[in-house]
Amino acid sequence: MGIFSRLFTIGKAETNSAIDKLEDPIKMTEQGIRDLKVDLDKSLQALAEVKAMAIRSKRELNDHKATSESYEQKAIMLLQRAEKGDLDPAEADRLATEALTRKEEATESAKRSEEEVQRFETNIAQLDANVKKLRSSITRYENELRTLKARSRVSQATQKINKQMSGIDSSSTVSMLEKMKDKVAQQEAMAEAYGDIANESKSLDDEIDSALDEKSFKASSSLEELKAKMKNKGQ
Amino acid sequence: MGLFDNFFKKKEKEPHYDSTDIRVQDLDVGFVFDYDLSTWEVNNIYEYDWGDNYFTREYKISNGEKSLFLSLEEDDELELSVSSKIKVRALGSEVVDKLMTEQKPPSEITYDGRTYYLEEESPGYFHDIGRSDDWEEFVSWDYEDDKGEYILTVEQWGEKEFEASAGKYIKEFEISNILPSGDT
Repeated sequence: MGIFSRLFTIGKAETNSAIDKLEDPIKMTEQGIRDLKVDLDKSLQALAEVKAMAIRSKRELNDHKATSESYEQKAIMLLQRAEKGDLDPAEADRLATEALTRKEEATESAKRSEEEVQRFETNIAQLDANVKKLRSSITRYENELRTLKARSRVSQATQKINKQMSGIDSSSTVSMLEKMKDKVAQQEAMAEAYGDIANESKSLDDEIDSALDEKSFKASSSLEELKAKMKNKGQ
Repeated sequence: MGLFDNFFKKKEKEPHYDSTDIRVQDLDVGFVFDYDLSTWEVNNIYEYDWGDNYFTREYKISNGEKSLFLSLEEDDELELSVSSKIKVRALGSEVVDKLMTEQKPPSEITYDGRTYYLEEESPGYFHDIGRSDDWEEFVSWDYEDDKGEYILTVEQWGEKEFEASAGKYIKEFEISNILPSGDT
């Protein structure tokens, strides 16, 4: 493996361990449960709303029923008065018919409220089932998390004891040696890497320097002069 | 879920109750629960101040057919009672007469075939949480039957105004399936 890729691997490992620390499974599960509880709360509120609407419809149903009965009672009384001769029969009929019309209206409204109550009851049953499912899974997750936490504590303690028993805890000589070795290896790798960089830059400087070197420039021009002189003599 | 989802998620407001275990003490206006084979909605909350930093709560509840009052007292343990308003005159005219003339109630009252015995006299202050911040002064006389299961209360408001209610103690488990309201 090359020096740079080795350094890169070390960096990658460090980053991963940092992410591992962030993604603590216990913390993640706790957050998950919190999120589920928010969802559960919304479902509970929706269910409460539908149940409250059902209660209101029931109240309306009772009101309409009472109104209907009251108008029927009034119609009967009107007819009774007419029979006794206290009221004009034609007038009694007119008023009784009016009362019965109101009674019919109230009965219609009562029927409508009853249908609403029925519809709400069906909705409630469905929502109730969902809420129960959600609630039981949250309770299950919470229990599992509790066990998980306990297990994690036990395993951490066991690991510590085992380390101490086998003498490989962080302060032991073996571990110190391992750490030293790692450090030395890292320093060596660094030195080598710097060395490579230094060599590379030296050769380049050499080329530049040599290209600009006055001595060699002068020498080559003297050579040209000599060549030119010899050429002239020969002529 | 991605790594950054948690950081950027808008923080939701935490409710004042535990969604998986909502208790009677958590009840608020709009909350719904089951009691006595019926579903009830909390319509109102009343607070009572009995002095010495002792407060009790009362919920006006309705199931669409009738309204009841659910009282909650937390002394050593949670004490719950359900009662409904009754006419003071139904207790017999001598009860009101005695209160009017002597400012003292009878030591026992028979109502609806049951005999109730005077338990305590407590002056206090009443407060309708939903309506105003005003506290009203009143006196309450609490009666119980010989087994301590049924209760009867006579209250005096102002000079000549009397109110009465009758009911019974209930156990916490009788109230189930408590659901929260989204408005609180």
